Amino acid sequence: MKVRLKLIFLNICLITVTYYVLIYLLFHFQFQKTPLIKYVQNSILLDKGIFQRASSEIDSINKVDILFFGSSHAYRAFDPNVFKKYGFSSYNLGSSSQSPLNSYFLMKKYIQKCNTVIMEVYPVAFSIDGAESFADLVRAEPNYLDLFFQAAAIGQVMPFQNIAVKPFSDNYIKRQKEDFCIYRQGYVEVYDSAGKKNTVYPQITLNKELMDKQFKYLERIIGLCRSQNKKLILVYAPVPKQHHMVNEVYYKELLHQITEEEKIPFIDMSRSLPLSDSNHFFDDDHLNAAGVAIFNQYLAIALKQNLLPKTNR
Amino acid sequence: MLFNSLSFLLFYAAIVPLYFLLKYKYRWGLLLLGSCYFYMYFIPAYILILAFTIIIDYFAGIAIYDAKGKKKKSLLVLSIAANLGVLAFFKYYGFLNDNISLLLTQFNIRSPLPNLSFLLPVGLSFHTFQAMSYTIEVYKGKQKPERHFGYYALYVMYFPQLVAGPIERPQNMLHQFHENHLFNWHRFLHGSQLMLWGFFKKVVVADRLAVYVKQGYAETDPWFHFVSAVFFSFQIYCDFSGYSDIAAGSSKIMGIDLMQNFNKPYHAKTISDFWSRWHISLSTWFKDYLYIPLGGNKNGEWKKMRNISLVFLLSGLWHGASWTFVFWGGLHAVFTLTESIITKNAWLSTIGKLLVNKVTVFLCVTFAWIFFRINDFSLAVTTCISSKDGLLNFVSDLFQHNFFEELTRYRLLTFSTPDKAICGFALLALILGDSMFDLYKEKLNGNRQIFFFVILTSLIAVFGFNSNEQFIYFQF
Repeated sequence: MKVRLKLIFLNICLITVTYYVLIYLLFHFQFQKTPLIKYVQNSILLDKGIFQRASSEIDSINKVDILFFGSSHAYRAFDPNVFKKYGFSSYNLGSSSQSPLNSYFLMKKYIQKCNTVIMEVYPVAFSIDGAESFADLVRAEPNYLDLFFQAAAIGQVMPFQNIAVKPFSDNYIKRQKEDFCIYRQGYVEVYDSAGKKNTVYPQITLNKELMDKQFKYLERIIGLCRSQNKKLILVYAPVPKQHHMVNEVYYKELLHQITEEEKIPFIDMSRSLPLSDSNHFFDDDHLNAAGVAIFNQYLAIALKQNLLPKTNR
Repeated sequence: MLFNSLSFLLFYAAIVPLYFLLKYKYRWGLLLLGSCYFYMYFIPAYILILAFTIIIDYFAGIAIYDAKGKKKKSLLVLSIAANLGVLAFFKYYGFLNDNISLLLTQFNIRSPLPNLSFLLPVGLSFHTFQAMSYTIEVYKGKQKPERHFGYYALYVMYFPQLVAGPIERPQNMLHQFHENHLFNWHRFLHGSQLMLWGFFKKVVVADRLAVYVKQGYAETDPWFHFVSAVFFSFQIYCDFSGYSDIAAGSSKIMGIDLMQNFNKPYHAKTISDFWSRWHISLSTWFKDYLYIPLGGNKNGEWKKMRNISLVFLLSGLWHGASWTFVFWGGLHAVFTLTESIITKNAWLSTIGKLLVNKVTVFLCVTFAWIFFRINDFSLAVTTCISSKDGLLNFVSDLFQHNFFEELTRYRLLTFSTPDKAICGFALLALILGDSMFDLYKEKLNGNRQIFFFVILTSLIAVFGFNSNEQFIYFQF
């Protein structure tokens, strides 16, 4: 029995050492740019990290009126400079593929820094498990226990790997700069305002099972905001009119049900604004600078007129 | 739940200690409960379908054993009809309806069948065939009926092989549930080795090749279509045999041995040999319960050809409700019959010995797999032709350049040297590992064992795709 336990222990030690040696070699030789090795990297980490910058800045900020959460449809769609013109101080804590599950854990950490939470509710963000976003968020979070709980909530092996290689990623990953972007206060602006012609709009199928899980986290977010006495507003940012998603009807039914029951304001500007697919979007689903300016103007006016408290500006 | 998921690892880690802590006469309850939970993880309501067929076959088995004469046969027919009825309804209703609609549209008549849409119950084809093998064996007198309902239900629902086989026989499985399996260190090690090897094949090789295959088929260059076809051959092998290894390994740890489902199929020298090595549980099922009862090869050449054709066409249909699957089965029927004719004919057998070898068998199987992967028939035909052109262009260009220069010219998609290295390494590890695993699996001990565990676990952790891709055979 003792011999077997020793064997098990030896195996575990050797596996751990070999694993970290392989990881070190991968990072040391910077296997980031090749597609296949990038999948290896992606299965451990993302090489782009908008959120790392935002999270280091928000720590130095005392309090703002609004914090924005959500996926790339948040960090590419809410410009704090526009909201400032309408009297709202804000910060954008959107990140790549951030799902409601990821948003929930982020909100727990940052909710005290705002009076109002605006959450972007792009349907695809409800149709993912949160593992991809976690790979991005993991490098900004120093607390391993919080990361562990989030990884357990996601329920995949990959997030735990992300945690395991965090020390390496913090030291070795060189962020790939997006030359066509400007970054400010968590918002990433694409200043190519010409738009793209001949864009391909792939049909996306929303996963119902994952949607059910993510909507449970939306309920938790609602509960969290309520318990912290913060206003929550859900916003569906504009998408191209040619952007189609299978099962979007199911998503809208769930969203409608939850906003009605919980009396949460929901602003759907997905296809109602005067935006053109070719001039106001820089790819098949994200707004460019011109599109953001129009969208944010409409949203800020709506917030000012109807939805936000008049104190604390 | 998928084998390559955290939830399965946690589920299995909970089941195994409880299994050995329980007294052996209660273990069936734990395994049955665990299997129910495992099955209901997909769509809970569908357990009712499984329950229906289990109840029918449980009582049918006892009744068949106790009955005599024509009543025996009638009860068997009833049991088979119930099983095939459920399979036909859930798996083939849509296919049948679409084809009837298409036919009737030619005469401007509307199909009388309503349009129904529902998800296929996971593993339906597998557990249906397994249940049918039980009643057939009882009818033949080769198996006594299982009078304990729990043990019988476990035979159908046993979670390691519930959703993608191997399709077991009652003579192999049932008695093992009644036996007291004590924890055995060597079985634990060998079962773990099998599971690790299965995970390696699935998450390091199969899911990785799936990326190449998807991108390759999206290209227009015929060479990429051929490469993707070859990669798909390895992908489907690693995916399915990986699953079988995980199933066998996880079962072995608990003391229950499952039948071997793969035996290095791409080493086959003939198509018949291939089918004695690929999905062995299914091919033996069709042989024992369809081919032989139809007469096999005993009633003349024409009947033999008829029987072979029927078996392969139905095998294709078993895999999927689509004409491409039937065509895939038909292709294998043609290969088998052609091979049979070549080997029987004195003149042709000399040529046959040159033509029919591992490479041609692999190429035939690879081209047939195109119809397995691509559901659209015309697209599959186009891809097949394109892949053939890709291969022929490569071979003809090879005569003009040397081999290494040719490989450099024919870049492997857009992946760079490190990518090719990992892909090449994965395939090499697969080819070597598959050969060595059989030789060493029972002899891995001491340092070799540690080496195996350490290397394989690290490779799975670092290079595993972690995409939670479903196993290909789950859709059947």
